[in-house]
Amino acid sequence: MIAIECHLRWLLAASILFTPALAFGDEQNPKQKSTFVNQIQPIFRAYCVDCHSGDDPEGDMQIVDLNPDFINGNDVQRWHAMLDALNRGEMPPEDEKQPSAQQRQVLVDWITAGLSQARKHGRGKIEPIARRLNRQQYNNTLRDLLHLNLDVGSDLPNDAISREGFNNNGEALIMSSLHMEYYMKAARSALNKSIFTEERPTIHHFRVELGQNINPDINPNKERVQLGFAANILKPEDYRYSEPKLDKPFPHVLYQRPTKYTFNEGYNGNSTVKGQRSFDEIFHSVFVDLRRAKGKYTLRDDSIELKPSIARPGARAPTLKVVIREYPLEGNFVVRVKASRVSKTDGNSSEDAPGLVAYIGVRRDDGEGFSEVGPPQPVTSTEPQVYEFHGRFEEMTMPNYEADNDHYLGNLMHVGVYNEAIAGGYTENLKIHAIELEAPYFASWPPKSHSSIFVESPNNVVSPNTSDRKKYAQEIIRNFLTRAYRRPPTKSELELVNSFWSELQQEKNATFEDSIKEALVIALSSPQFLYIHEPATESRRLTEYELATRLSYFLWDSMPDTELFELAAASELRNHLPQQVSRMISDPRSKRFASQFAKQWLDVDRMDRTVVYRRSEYTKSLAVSMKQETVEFMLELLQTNESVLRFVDSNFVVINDKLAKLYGIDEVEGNQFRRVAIAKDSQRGGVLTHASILTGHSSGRDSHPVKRGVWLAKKILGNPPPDPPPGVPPLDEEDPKLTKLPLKQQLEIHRNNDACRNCHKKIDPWGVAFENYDTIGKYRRDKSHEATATLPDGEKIDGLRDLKNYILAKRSKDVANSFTKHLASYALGRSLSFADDDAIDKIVDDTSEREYRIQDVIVSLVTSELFLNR
Amino acid sequence: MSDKSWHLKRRTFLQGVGASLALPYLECMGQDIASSDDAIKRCCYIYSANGVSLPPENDPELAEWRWFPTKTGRDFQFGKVLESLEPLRDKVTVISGIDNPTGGAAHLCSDVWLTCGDVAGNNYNNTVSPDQIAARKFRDKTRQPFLAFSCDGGVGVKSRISTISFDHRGNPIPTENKPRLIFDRLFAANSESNSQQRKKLQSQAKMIDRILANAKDLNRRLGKRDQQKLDEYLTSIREIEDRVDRYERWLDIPLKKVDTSHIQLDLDPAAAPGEYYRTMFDLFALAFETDLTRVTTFMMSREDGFGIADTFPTLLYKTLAHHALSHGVSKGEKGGGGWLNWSRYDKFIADQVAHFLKRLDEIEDPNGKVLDNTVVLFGSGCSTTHNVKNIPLLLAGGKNLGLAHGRHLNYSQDKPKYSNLHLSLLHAMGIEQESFADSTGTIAELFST
Repeated sequence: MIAIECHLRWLLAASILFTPALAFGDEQNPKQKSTFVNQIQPIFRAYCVDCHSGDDPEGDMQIVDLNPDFINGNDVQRWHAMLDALNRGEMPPEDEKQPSAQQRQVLVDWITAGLSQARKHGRGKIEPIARRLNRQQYNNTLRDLLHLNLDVGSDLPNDAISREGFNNNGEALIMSSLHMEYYMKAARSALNKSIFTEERPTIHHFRVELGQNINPDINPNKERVQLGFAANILKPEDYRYSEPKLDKPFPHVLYQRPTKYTFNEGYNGNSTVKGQRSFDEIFHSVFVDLRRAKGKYTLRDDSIELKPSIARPGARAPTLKVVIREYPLEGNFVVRVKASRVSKTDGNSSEDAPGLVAYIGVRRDDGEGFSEVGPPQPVTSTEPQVYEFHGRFEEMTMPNYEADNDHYLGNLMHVGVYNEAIAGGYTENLKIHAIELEAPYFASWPPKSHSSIFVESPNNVVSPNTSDRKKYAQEIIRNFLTRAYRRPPTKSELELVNSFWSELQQEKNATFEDSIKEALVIALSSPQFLYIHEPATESRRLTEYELATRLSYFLWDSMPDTELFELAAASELRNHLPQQVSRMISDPRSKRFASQFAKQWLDVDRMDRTVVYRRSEYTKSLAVSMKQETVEFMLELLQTNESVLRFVDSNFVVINDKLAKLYGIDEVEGNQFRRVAIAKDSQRGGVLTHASILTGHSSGRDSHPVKRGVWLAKKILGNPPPDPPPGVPPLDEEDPKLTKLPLKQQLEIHRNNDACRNCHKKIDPWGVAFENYDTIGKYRRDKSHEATATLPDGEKIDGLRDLKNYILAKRSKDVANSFTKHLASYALGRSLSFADDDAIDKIVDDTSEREYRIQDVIVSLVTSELFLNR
Repeated sequence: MSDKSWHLKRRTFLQGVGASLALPYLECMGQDIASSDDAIKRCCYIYSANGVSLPPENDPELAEWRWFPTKTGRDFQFGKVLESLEPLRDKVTVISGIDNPTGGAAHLCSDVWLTCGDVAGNNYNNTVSPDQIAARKFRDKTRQPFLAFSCDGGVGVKSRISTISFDHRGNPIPTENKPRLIFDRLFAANSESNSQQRKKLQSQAKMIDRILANAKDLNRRLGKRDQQKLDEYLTSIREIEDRVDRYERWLDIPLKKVDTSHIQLDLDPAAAPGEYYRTMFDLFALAFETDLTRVTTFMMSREDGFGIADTFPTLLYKTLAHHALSHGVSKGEKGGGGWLNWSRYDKFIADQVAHFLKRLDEIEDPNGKVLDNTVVLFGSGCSTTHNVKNIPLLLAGGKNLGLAHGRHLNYSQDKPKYSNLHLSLLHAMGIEQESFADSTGTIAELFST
């Protein structure tokens, strides 16, 4: 049916061009209409319809079908695209017949007038839509709402990505029963982990001190734990186990580790199966294993001296671990390691110091699975000092605990350390004096996750009868809903949850905490919590609370904090936007914005979809560093309020040792990222030369000018080329005839194909300028990789340095515009349309004087109508 | 209608012999249900991206590596790619010559492979996929209305979608991709007693009631688009409500006890693609065997180099990635090994599907093999690069549902619409709707030899 209609329209249009489709609305300016018939149509007929008509029109632009009614028609967006193409001088293509300057002007004026009319009538305006929290937002929000140090929604399905590359787009974020199932599960699990019912916690706390013959008074002949032929268990006299008292500001119970065990099997040497055996000694419950460190450690009087891991991909670090059988299965923990370095002189710099890594692991037949607890810490002193590592068991590699497993090897968990060469070279030995575990770790009791729900209140009367606690329950619920819904709940919202609580507390055996927990599960499963929602049937100002929410999801990817809530409650947020933006950017949570926005805008994750062939230096850790660079660079520009143009070029880079090596920059030691000044003629600077971008937009075997060119046009210049039409033959990467030619010529052949030419001459020159950077972004300068190109506007360039200078000189406004549009799309969680152009232009103009500094652009955006209204 | 009487019959029967009976009801009740409307009808749709390798027919060395068989009709011969299907040749039909109606945009071919929707242009509005029509029809018969898998999970990006299932509003349905999570969610043994579980389900149902009541409070003062989003939310909740309700009804009917020890759940697809595919298919087989669901879809890979599966050929054969392979063939001549590398990977994919079909052909239903009660459609949205004409399609199973097999059906002339195939398969499943998408009728040859 649709197909027939199209054909019919085409036939009619072909015979009496345009007349049948022209149904002007009553409001359309009659002059506008006569101009169209008398002036515009003839221009189209003369210069456009040859290509833009038929079954398979160029650029999917069927000019005959365009409805010239800007108010009632549905083609305003396409007219807008046409205007862009005209303004950029792209259409008609240069090798086609050209309209006169006057004809061009008539067309531009006519479309511009139509668009302004359309805007006046609210056409093209993208209505805001309730946005479901995406996975990161959901995780971050629960972290901040519950003071929970854990991503509880990591099992949620992946979120869809919008046309612009963002995963916070309300339109694209669908809801499904699978989502709901996980949301309900995650809500209950998060609350279970936040609320504690016991009066005082039971804490595991032990210390294992190491040293030759540190524990002399034991019987060396007793039969003790063995772990197969490859075991390397420290002799009991060389370590001392204790359960020291904890200095805590609250009453608690110290867990006492058992000494009596009956084990099944158990090996002595390689072959002797012993069956059921009983033991009564602490050494079966806790022991020290150096299986992977054989020959790489020395036993000292007060410590074990560990050699560093070799900085070679795949090299296994010599590890020292305390093995235990009983441990909490979830919650926060802290590992404390007493360590010192061995060199005679104390180094001042931490960069060449040995790096102490703590990990939690699990025994496997083929070795050990483990996860590191935070980053390595430099051990700078020869005096023994205690280093703390905080973590959360749920995020660690843990044994699949089976309570009834009495096998000798069952449920064993490792609390281990190793000596990592953080500087990337071979560093010195590290002395480990003692290892301590405190778990679960609580800074206060009840922990903040609990006390922020069960707030201190005079309403909290002690009564065995839960119904006596109605007043307190209602206070808790009101408090919680205000934060969870990110605004004060309405009366009926409150009444509903209160009534659920009343029902729940009547259930058999329900404790007060249970009934509250269940009532809060309902709140956390509600659309009020799961959606960022600004209800209205027409355009209006945001409320102060809605503004706080928009702002915090923009800059923190999470809910507002107390200060934002307080300002909103006092209706003072709108009056303090610049100050709040500045405060929020100084807050560490702004790293979430830098990371999400940089990755999604610049499509950093495209690296994951690129298989790099035969490049041994492309290691996993280099790949991680590459991605991190783009995030760190964005963060640096944000924090120091640099110009948006620094994305194009900068006189510094933000790198670590691995990237320094790749980029050929000297004197950068260590894994941490830092700002490094670079020379003016450097081959780096800006994001165009980031290894992440170059690798992601390579073919995996070599550079890929088309991918890189499209990326630049789309992301940096804000001028995305259309998708390739169907049936276009691609560059044949394996055709031997073609592959023998230099890439530049290959592209020329490709461009000479009629179907390709018009688009590719707008793409390829940009990409060719990147030719001096290989697959993984290493600089190369040789004859076979020429980077000379003629840009679409005729400018001749040689290499990326020229290209950057050209962009900064001639296209800086386009860069600012592209950045601002992407930023607005991310901030608003929706796509933009031509209806938003004026607002975007205003932001760009307002910030041009100081060269579009990022914070200026952000402030200008959040104080614009775009952000303040819905 | 007859669904209900069957339910009653089965439940009465089970109560009669005691709820702890571990024998699966299917075997207990035997043949009589096979002939009735309650006969088990299942479907499974499997998608592989980037088309298939079709080297020139006149090339003596490469011709046997074409995906399509040589000769048509009953005398067809599988080439190297599909040769592992030879033992099943009487239960499969290869279909060639049919075109995917993508509205002209090749990268949309996976979005519409099942829906035949019109998604061209600026507004992407897809339509329902046949698996979801079947899921709605069979929802009361099983614990889960459907399972939707892919290698990446979620829904992906429009036009680079990571699901082939679309609901009745045309929204993409998120897929699952982690075997361990899937297994735990669906099959993990429950140590609680039935009454404990019932209590739990009832309190869950009550919670859902409350969540619904709470959400409805928001229902006022909404714009049209917000209203759509809220509807989406409410539908999701109701589907869970429905499921809880179903689980409660199913509580006294034990899941068939089957051995699951052969299924590897903790594996990394990037390390072991073959094992990963086998596990995902094993989970389907398990779901069919235990009658957990009757509707499944699996998107084995995604278009345009998206997703983890694109890297599999590189991991397995050290060749280009999958999408690059599909672009990397030499046109009209040998050399570069392009066609061959691509064909070899096609064979790997086909082997996985063959393994799955063989598995279904081993498992027993009361009236035959599971495969004979299951319509399986495997294929791609393109033939070769960006070419939506002559798409590769393999139809398998469903003998008891009237499908005739053992042929290569070629449509070079008088091509039926692709949607006619989907409509025919819906009819085979007893879903006698008049049309599907832009269908003009059914394809009679599918049902007669």
